[in-house]
Amino acid sequence: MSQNQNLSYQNDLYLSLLAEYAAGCLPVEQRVIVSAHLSLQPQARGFIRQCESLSAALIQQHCPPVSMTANALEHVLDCIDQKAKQQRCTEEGKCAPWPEDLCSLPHAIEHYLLERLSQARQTLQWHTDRPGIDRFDIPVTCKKSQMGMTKMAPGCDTARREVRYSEITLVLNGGLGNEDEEYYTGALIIREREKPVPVVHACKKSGCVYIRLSGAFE
Amino acid sequence: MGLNAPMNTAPPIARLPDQPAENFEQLLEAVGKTQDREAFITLFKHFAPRIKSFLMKNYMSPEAADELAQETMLAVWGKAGSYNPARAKASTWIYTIARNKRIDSLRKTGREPIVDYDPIWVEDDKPGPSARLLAKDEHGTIGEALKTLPKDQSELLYKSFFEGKAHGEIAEETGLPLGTVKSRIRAALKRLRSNEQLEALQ
Repeated sequence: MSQNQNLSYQNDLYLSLLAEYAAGCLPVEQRVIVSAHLSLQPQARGFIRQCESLSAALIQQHCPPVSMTANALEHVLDCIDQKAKQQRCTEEGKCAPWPEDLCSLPHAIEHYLLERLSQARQTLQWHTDRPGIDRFDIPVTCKKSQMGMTKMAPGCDTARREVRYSEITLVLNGGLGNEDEEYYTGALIIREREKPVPVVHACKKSGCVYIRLSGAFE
Repeated sequence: MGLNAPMNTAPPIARLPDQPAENFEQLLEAVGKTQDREAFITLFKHFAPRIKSFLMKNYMSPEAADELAQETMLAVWGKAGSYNPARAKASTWIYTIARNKRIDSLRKTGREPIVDYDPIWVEDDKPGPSARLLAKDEHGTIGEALKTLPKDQSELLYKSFFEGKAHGEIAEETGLPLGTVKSRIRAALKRLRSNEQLEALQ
């Protein structure tokens, strides 16, 4: 069995996903997952940095300076002096309404969950899908998509299934795999729709927690 | 460090009145490390008018663009402590903040939550481009490389990375199939990455 940090690292869908992320034009749920992927697998940031350099070069090339309003600098310096811009309170995350086993979620996912759960007036509660597999649905902004987090106990297997809609899965903790490949924390797995998915099992030592977005490219 | 931190009264670092571009990294570091107000003013004078220009080219009114350029520079002040010159040129870092601010302002009009996703100032454990490479005119090099691309590819890069349009939106606008848009953008990026001068930046 080969260890695969990221099934789609070099494939076309993956590169397009990263390119759209770098351009800042992904829908929020995809953006959250890619951002979490980058925080868990920093080596993928090289490509993002190149895209950001490209954007900056385009700005440099196409944007000759224009005059600012007369008091713009003064106004900004005043804001700095008066400490008018308050940094967002990060303490909120410490009393997040989810179980302790999820306390170290990547920042982007934590932030998104807090926002969405608070808007939907929900708290995070697992429900059992099948023995050893717990799941909760995350409220999303786009009706065409579904997002959920799944926790698999060590060594637990999923049922064989068919992917009806394209999906992105990010391994948040532990690992999962099938007879061909294994994926560990930070791996981003992109599956196209209507492709059969083999039975996957969670890592025998640590189990697995993953987040999945379905209908991502529809 | 941030906007709430007390102002540092240390004297600003010595510099020439007309800053060459390669010193922006030093200036930004000075803002981050010592909250150097003079360094910030120099950065503001150079970047704010260009950011405003970028925002106006993306259909923002001059007033709104001015305001957002100011907000961007405030964010530069607040986040400068996390800037690492070994990871990105100051201009790339500042323009990324500007682009994110623009995206956030567009999202404020919709129902989508704003997600703090600024990847460029998140540290990673892998060394970035060295300071020696950053001393090169990275943007000029990319600009030259862009000129070597076929027009159909460079136009799509412009729409995506300058105008911030989604691939689906570009497909609708140009009448090209979505798959073609995606493959042309990928091909352009691959071509840029294989450019000899740009290899050093990877």
